[in-house]
Amino acid sequence: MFIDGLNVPDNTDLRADIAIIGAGAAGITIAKALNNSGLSVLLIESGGFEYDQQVQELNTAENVGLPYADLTYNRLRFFGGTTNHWGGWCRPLDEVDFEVRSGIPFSGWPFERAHLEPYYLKAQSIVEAGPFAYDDQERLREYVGDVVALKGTNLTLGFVQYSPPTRFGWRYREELQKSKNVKVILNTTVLGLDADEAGTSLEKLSLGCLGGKRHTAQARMYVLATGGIENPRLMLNSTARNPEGVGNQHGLVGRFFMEHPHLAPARLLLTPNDQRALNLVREISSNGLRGAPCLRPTRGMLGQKHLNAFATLSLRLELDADGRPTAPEHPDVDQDDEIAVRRAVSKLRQLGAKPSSVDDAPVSVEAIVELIAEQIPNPESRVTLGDGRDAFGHRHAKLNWQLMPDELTSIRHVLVSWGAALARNGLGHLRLVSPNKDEPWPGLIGWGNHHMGTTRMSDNPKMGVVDQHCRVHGMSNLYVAGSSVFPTSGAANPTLTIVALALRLADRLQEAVT
Amino acid sequence: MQSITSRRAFLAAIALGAAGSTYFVRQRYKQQRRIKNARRALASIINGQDYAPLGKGFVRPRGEALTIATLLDDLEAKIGATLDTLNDGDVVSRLMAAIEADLDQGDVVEVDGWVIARTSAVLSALCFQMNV
Repeated sequence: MFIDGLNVPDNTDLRADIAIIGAGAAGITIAKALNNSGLSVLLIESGGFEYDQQVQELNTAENVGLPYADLTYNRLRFFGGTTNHWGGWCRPLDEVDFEVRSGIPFSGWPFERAHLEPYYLKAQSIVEAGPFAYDDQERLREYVGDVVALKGTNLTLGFVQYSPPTRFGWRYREELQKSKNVKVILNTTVLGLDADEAGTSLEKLSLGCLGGKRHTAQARMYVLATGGIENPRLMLNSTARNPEGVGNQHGLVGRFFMEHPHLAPARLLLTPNDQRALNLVREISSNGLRGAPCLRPTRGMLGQKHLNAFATLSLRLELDADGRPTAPEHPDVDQDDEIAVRRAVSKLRQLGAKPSSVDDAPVSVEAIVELIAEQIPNPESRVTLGDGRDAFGHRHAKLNWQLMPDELTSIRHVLVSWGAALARNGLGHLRLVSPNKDEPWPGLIGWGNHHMGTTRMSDNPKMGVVDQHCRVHGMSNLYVAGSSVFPTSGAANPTLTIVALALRLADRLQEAVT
Repeated sequence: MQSITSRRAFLAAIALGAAGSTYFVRQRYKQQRRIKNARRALASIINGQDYAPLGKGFVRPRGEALTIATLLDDLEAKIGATLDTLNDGDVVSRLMAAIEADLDQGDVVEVDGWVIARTSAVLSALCFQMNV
């Protein structure tokens, strides 16, 4: 059922077995999983069913790091959370993402991917994606033909799948409306995580509505599910019993902020008249699977020191009639030479063919390589509290997103290796947009609005904020859901993993309470 | 006694100089012949104009270090033979094998951003330098 914090009497004290803070992908998934469980569940949402500017501005935050999206609007504060503008891309993390890699500091999860596999299978239906067949080579063959029989060891193929995308608020509203044991309170913001005197468990939540009402909520277990920026913000702002913030006894809350750098760092000149190459570029919608093939590095190529990444290809349209880019990306190259060089590259595998004149050489079709990369976990890339305050008087979040030179080096390594593999397999030739190895991070780096790592998972309380069960170290009844618990991020879009982890946490909560 | 020794040394130096000069002339001639033969061998299997623009891009940032002789050394090391000892078919098959080996082993270079096998780059540079 749904209630509205604005419509219940002031100072209402709400009670439940489990209180979940935040009705986004993680919060709604846990509430759904606990529906009909016999446990009373309270799901607390800051916004209502629709976007509201005043509520949205509670997200206002400061940015002191790399240029980044407007933090007021890149996360949404109403029922369904940020899934209300989710792009819908799905991929599970790879096995390597869970491993400790000696060349990547702070890498590795406390468990293997296999442990998450059953939850991934269930998550797949919650996000309404197709069959869980992201790296199934047989199915790949069905869609992209013989391309999958790649020679060499640097490149492999997989799928990225598209969720419709599922707007969790709309899709699961009726189910929660009908629930007997799940109560959703809207327009109610958690103002504080109130710990007991010892500071080792939560006693209650202080709640507030923008209209002025104040309420409280008490539960046996609490789950913080407000996203990778608001989770640490709320913990750091809750200083009544813990001056450094809840769960922050080792100063780790908010550290290790990771994004997925998004780049279009290369172009692929496809081998002329080669259907295999064209198959890599097309989107797929067949047998319940909607998505696109993606390029992936092999485990062997990454070794111990390289970061994960994956890339999709899209046809490049901004070429003139001669196949020359209308907006040159290499101004240092004589533009008169440009077309001749492209012809030369497209003929590199035609040695011994009947000599031809330059003019009749095919120029081919070009694809844009759109790459999503992993970051090195970096304690200096972090969320802290700023000086500004929101309408409740709570300090804003302050983001300092950082990238490291090794990350650029790793991306270049992946691209150059793929360039060799694509040429080796006759699929085309890769051209890096930014050819200078010593260049600083180019302006073309974007982001995915993926906020990860700020309450990272580790069984060692000095290395992580939550343990492998997502319970906050030093707090007996506070758990964290969402991508803020990712200790390493992989390259895959995080929503599918957020949902899988939320399902796992729901199992854990049921065990813990019963 | 001293003057006899000096005269002998003087004559020896002249003889050595003449021999050295002959040696260098012979070497130079050999090199020219090698280049001429290589050019002929490459021209019979490819249209050099197709690849020269790429070769120009490879040579440009590397400057004078890339002489025709060093490029030929590199190419012949890659194919494991001197060009003028092979027939056309062998040149093509050895070049293709060398290119594939480069790509398998990641022995690639970047030319104006293009990621290409080192053998392809050297071959293109020779087409440019020798006007194949």
